[in-house]
Amino acid sequence: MEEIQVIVIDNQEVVTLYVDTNTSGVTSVNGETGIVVLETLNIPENTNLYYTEARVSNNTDVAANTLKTGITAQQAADITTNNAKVGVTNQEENTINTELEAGMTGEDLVLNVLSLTEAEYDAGTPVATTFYIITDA
Amino acid sequence: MAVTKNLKNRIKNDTFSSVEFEYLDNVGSAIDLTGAAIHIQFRYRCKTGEVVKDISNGSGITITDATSGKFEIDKFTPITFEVDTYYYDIQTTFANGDIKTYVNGTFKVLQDITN
Repeated sequence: MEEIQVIVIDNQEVVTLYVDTNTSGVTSVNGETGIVVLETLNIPENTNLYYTEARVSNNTDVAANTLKTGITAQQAADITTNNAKVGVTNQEENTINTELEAGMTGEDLVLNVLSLTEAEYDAGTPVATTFYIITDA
Repeated sequence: MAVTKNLKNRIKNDTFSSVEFEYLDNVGSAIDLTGAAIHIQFRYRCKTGEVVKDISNGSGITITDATSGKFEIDKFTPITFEVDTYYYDIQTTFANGDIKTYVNGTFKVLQDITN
């Protein structure tokens, strides 16, 4: 770019002008003249937004990992159906499995099966959803 | 491509105070005005209006330091122009024959009260 500076002193006011001596083209960029170096701070966002880690993290699809990128289709399907039931306790898993297998009217849900002696059974407080096997009876 | 520098308002019948200019290149080094001819016209109301003042170096313009790129519009008294807006630009013909107009602009002459 061919450019000169013109310093004007008029009634004590000193002004430096930057003149792009090209006869056509841009005379200023974003309100700046002279040798202009812009950065993102100089350019307000419009409809196109700047990338930030926080914005990416807050994206709904990213948060939900909707596309499940980086894993196989089977893995994605497993996640969708939660085959491994990750994030639940064993008891909750048993409940899920039981619920999946349930269907008979009047059935009772058994979440645990324990074996113990009669004395041990008598010493404790039975849980309604646990099936006890008394080994010395 | 010229840039616009509007000069400060002047009051009719006052002294038109001098205006100093300095030409530097893009790294701040002076543009040598040795052998250059500088020509300025003031025109009434528009860029193609009536010329109310025509000055050049030696006659209304002084190259104060050629090697430093400095010149000025000499002060003159009084301002007799009609109250209105005036247009100007500065045409510089360098020693190598190049003609450049770097600056243009306007100024207003305001009505004075005291005669």
